[in-house]
Amino acid sequence: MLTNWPCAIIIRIIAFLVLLCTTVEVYCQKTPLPDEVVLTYITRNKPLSTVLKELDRKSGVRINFTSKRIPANKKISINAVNQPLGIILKAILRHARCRYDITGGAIVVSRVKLGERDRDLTISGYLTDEKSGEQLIGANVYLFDKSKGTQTNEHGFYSFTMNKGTKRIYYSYLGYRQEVKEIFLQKDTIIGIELRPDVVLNQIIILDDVENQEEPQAISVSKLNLDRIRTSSSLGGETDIIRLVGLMPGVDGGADGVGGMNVRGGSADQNLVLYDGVPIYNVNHAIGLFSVFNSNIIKNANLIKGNIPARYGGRLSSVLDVRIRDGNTKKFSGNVSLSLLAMKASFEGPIGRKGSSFIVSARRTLLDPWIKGITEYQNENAGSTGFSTYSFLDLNGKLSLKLNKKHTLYINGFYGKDDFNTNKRSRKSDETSVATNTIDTETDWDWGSNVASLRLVSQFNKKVFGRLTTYYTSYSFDSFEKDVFTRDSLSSSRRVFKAGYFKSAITDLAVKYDFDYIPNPSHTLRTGVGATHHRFNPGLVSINNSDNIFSPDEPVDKIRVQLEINEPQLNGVEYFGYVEDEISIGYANTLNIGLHVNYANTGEKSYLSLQPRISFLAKWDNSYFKVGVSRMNQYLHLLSSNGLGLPTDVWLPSTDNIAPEKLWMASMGVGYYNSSGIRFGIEGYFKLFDDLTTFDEGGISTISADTNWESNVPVGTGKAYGIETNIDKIIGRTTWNANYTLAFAFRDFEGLTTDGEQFPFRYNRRHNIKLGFLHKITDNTEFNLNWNLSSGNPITSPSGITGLVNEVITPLFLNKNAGLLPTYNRVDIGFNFYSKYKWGRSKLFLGVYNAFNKANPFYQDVENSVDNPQRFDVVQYSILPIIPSFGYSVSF
Amino acid sequence: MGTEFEKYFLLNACHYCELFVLSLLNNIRALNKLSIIIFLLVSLGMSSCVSRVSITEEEKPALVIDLQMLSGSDSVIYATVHTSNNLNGTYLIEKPDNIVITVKDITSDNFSNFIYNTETKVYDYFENEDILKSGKNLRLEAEIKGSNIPKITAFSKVPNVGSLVDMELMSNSIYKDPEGLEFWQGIVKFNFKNLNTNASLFYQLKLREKLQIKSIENGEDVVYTSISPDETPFTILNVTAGQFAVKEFINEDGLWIDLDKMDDDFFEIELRSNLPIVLEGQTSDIIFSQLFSITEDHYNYYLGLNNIETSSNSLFGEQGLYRTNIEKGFGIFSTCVVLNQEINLAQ
Repeated sequence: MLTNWPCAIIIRIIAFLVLLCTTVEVYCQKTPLPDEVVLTYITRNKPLSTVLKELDRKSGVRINFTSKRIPANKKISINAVNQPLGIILKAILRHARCRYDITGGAIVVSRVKLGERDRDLTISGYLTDEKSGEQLIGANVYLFDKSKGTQTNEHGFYSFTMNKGTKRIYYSYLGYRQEVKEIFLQKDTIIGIELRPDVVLNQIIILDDVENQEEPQAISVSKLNLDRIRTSSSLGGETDIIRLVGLMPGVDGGADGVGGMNVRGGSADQNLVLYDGVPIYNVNHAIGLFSVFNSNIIKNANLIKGNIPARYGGRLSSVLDVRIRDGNTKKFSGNVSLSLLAMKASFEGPIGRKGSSFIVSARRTLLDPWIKGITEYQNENAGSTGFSTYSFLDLNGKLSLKLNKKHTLYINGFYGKDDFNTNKRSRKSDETSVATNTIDTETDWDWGSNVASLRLVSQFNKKVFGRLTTYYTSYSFDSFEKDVFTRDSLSSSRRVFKAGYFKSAITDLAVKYDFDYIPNPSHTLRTGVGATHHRFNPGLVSINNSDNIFSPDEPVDKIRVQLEINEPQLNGVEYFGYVEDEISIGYANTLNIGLHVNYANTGEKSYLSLQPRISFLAKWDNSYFKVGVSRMNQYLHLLSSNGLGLPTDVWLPSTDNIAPEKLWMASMGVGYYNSSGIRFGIEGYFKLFDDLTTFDEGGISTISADTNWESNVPVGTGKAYGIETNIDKIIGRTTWNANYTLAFAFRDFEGLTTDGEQFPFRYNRRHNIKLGFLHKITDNTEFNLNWNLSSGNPITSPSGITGLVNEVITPLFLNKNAGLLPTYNRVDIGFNFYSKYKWGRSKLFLGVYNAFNKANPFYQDVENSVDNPQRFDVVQYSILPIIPSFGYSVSF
Repeated sequence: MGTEFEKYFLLNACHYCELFVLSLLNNIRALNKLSIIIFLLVSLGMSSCVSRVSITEEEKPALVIDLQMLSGSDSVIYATVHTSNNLNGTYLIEKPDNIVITVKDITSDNFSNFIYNTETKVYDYFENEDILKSGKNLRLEAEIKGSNIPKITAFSKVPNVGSLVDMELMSNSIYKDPEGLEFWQGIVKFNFKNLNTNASLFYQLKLREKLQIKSIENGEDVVYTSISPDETPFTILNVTAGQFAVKEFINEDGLWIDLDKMDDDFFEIELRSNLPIVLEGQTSDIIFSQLFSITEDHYNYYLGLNNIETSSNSLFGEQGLYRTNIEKGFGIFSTCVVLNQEINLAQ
């Protein structure tokens, strides 16, 4: 079929161009409404009647008026270049207390009567994908002059109010053909719109319309649409949304791009990651090489890193709102993908004919046979037996049941599981051959997250929308490790061992109700209440033979060691409520003002938190300015010694001794954009943290109900500030974006430094440059490149001296996070090849991760020198060298 | 319904698997088989490696001093000095007697010198009794004559005598281990009074056991008394009250106490003797306590060493930092005062 593929490409290019021309022609043939005619008109101090006549002549649009009924002699001055007639008229008539209406093909100007008020009429409806029926989130709906407009909510619903008359409404969404509806509005109207995906032969988008781009918003939000996710370069061919988020300004993606997500100087636990509206606690597989989000089922994602609106709460630094697809409501379809690291499949389709649908997806790593084979071989070479295995699995399922026109029930489930296991046995006879020494080691780690939710979405009327959600979300980590030395001789058997068991689990049960009310285009009111019950079960125990707990013949296994821990159970209930109003002021200014209230009782203490949120956006034709202040509160704490979001981190609630974490955050930014698709933005932020927690120095050896282990957790403060700049070119065959972040972040914990001063935050890079480049080579081939150059992370590096600690020569660390890891430098490149068949489409991804094979630091350690065990080397580990990547997927 | 769905699903699954493989082969053919095979082999080979880069830097040597001046009934004053060891090398002090160590009272200018003892390999105190008194501010200076190694300095204020009022036995029991050996176990309460928050509130508590062996010699009852060796005669099982002050820092040198953190005027610890009760007539009915009133620097120095030891290879703690009060060098210069008390278990 593709043996002569250059010809095929040429044919496809021709087909594409023909299609493109046709599309453009169809669009251009659409006759503009009278007030959409574009013209240039400049005048000074002319009477209104003269101005209207001149406009009539210049625009070719008939403008009717009666001089006696308007202030015909009012002097008008205006300077309008290439503006629609409607905007010019509005500017002129506003001061003359007049208005215009479109009647037939003409414009009629009349005086606004005293006390006259237009009857408010509402247009509402849902925006969906034409092919799959998926509801489109955050799509723009607006009048031609953008004097009125709105965005669809998370269920694709929009509603806005205007006066009667002929209206042309634009519906646009990134990756979709723009739709224009012309209506004569004389009563409340429901318009459901299906947008056609803007694809030709494959999933490559050529943006040719700046109107499709996202509008500036008062909140600092980055939108990640599905196509952006799917076209990006990926590690091992496995597209990952968390890695993509790491390319945004102000976001650090952990050491060597692995694990964690640190936003504007915040910790990994301070990100509210929502899986279809439900918080998910651990988003990583394989110590953060991949996230739990299977790209097959993601509909859309937004990262909010500043001016967080009042509807979100519970975390300090950011919100990553990932929405899951509802499934195809029109036909059964699916996707199967194979990459070097994992295989995944998803299936979706309609249920009945009422618009209900389902989607299921599964993904499993393919690494385990490789890991097992390699480790088995390594152990055999070392004279031992045993092997290691690692695997992850995640399952997703969602049912969208349309109960009737106004109510839809969503049932959602996620199951994620990681399993790491290693066991090794070394057996040796001693020199005299009278005894045999055996060393058994075992490590068993299991961790995973589960989510289940039930959401009833109700559209009460054209202006009121409600969501009742109840959910269960849990995360648990369970680890067991042992080292057993056994010496067997003819006469006796002796055993020395140490074993440890660690568990960290959190389970939430919650119910909440969210309520949206859009009284008029100037206000979007959101309010909601909810309660969350948290249950935490951390536990840590270490046992060795000198504890005299095990009888000599008793096996040292996980279940037996587990019995020795009196697992503490910490419970807490958190209540919250919010009210938020997004107010349109004037032509294009937006004020978002709200209050989030949070209350938690920990037994002896109650914590009430009032969190005001305010942000303001002033928008002009090609530029904007925004500013905002937020107060945030976080009931949960994460004790982490690494900040990577590793499974060994311990989740804790606020207690009588530990207050909830708090944050004041302010940000301010300006931006510029033009019709050629260039966007530039600069934003500064300042954050003050309070009541942060961390592990103490030295480590915890026991976590159990018998000890008051959490009462001595260090509590401290922090601050972060910085500037982010970005410049994007978002239209055409070649799109690119570049951003630079200058960031400072510090923590201050009494007693955790040698000098009592604040210390640099571990996961903050001072300078960070990121570049993304995507070029469509042919209709079905594209090239992408991502480059990240940034300062190294602060690190508690060894001083270079050693000392005697308990008679052992030990490297000494003097200052906290005073060292710096080397500069991080990584270039990823990739090609996507798309093919279309009768039955569907395919995508082949070939790429290279870390193309220049830079040894980027993952961590540093001090180890005994290989040449002389009495000496030490500071050793830097890199885990991701150059990695060629491969991925293949088919959709049908 | 279920059967039809399964049949439909399986048929479709087979069909799509077949399509998947065929389309994959088509794409691979288009891209040159050989290059793909090389690509896959390189992928697997490269992705399994972990690089390890040594980035050790040389450090200049500095003096390391351990000078503890203990005042009380068992007064001990000596110093050891060496130079810091680099990760990859050791700097030896060729002529130890070239080191000059002076401790000076800042207000009176009284001073004492330390002289190197070639037998014990430590620097002995050249006694000046006026120096080591509570409340005095002392300054240490040490240098190697004719060396490039920088001169070190440090300060210490001699702490006040501890405000421990008494010890109280709260419970008294016998613990039997799996092998049937019996050990004394109990809870002891330590009461403090009139804690002076302006003064140093750091203490080190060492517990020892006084052994009494009864015997009959020449027809008379004789009691032999001996003090247990310094190595951990007791295991501290738990801190049952006053955890803030003492819970985080218990090591083999005893219990380290930061009374700034104590929420009450007392704390309680549950102890178990490490010496089994094996003989009839042998009792271990007296607990010796030695309460060292120490400086904050002294406390932090040992807290740091303790943290360094416990933090190695721990996923549940921050890296322990080395703390020193020596300027341009390492080690500790401290002054402390000891107070001995005992509690009779038999009473």
